[in-house]
Amino acid sequence: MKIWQLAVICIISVLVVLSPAQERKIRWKKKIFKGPQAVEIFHSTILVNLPTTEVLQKKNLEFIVAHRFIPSLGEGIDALFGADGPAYMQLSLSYAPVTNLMVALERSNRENHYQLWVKYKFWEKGSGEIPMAAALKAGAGVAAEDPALSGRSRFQARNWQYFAIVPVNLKLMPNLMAGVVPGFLYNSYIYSASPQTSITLGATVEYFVTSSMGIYAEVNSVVRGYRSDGATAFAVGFETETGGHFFKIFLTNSTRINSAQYLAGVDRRIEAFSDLHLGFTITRLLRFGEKW
Amino acid sequence: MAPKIIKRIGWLFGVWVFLGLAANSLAVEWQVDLTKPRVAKFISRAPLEEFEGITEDIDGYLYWEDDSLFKNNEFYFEVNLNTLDTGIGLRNRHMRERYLETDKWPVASYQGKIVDVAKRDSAGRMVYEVQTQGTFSVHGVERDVEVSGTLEMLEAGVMRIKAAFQIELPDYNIKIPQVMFFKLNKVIKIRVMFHLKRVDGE
Repeated sequence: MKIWQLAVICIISVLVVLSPAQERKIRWKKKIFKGPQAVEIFHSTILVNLPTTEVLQKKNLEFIVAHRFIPSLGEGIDALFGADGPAYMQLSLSYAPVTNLMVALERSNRENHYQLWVKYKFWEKGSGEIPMAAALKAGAGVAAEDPALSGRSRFQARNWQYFAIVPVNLKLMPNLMAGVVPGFLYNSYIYSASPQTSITLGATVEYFVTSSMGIYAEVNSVVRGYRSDGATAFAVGFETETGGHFFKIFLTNSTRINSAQYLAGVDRRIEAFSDLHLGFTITRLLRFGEKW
Repeated sequence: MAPKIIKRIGWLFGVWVFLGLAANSLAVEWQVDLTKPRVAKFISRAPLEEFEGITEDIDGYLYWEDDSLFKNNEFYFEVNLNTLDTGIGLRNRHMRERYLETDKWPVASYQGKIVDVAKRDSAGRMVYEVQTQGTFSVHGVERDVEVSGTLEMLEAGVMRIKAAFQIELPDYNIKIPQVMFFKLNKVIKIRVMFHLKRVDGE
């Protein structure tokens, strides 16, 4: 074997080791993942009575227990400032069948009121200096009181109320959220001679002291149409969140507990701080995901 | 003399290129099919509280060198932690900002090799039970882990991967929330399912 032939064999051997095949040509390219898609402003689906633009995650179920104590703070320590009751209470079960849409069924012991509604977050803007979102909450409720008490059948047309609310929420600062909440209510007072309507305007604000605790306030006023009293409904309170729970406690001048009742106004004007009522809301989120 | 050397060099170059192309033509690459179902679940089971963080933001590849299945293989898969959803906005935000610190480390990744394969037939489909060794990375910490899973050949050029393993949060310097209720187990189970499509020859 000639020297050059030996050299060729050696060189080929080296080249085989160094051949292009050894440099793995992986075509996959790392992508730049985008940040969170959903705009999260208020953390819960309701503040006190006014809705936020938050909706449940798809296939989630939310159970809510809410109380508005009828005795006012002025009842004093002997009645635990009204917390001894009695109370208007509401049970609510909501579910998100698809992304950005939730449906809920609620029952309040005030007028034996059943309510069914849907909320759809139809717009959100996460980019820019002020993230914002808008939703539509619309539904129907019926005051299905005992005919022996109301003098009419449970489900007659005048017992039904219909409403639509359009919360628009803004994240003004990382810890400061605000919302404007216009609403419309049909058949505001079920015992009036003819159906009444109410156009309302509400506002919400919440400041998160920490990422799991916030203080908030909301107001809602009937700007046109029927209102049960001249006063504006308002509430101020505190909330904390742990895992799947929200716990909210607040003071309010309204014991009305669902949208159809709340949009029509408050029961009575308050004259002093001691006329306010205690209330609380506890939510529990349950998840039903696909098995695979 | 000079033309002869040039001729030999040219011949050598040709052999080199041929070897390279021949070997590369046998390389097989699969990438995560972003059009098919995919999910990564991070599951915590703690007293009074169980939750899952779910995302479908999975990407990556599986590569081997020739048609001898899995020869000299390697893979890399990553999950976008910014889209991990536990069902509650606040909890998502807590998880991202307080615990996973996704602004610094936005992805969890697993990079490694298939080290053992057992083939079986399942209802007419070829299923490979695989053992892998590699490096799992999250929160800026890398740990060697071993993960077992299945590769299921669904149709030509499409396979489905399922795998499950668990990590301990302290191993990755991730704090365990201790507020009000103990709600996060230090052991997190991770389950993934996604599809791969063959991309070589495209």
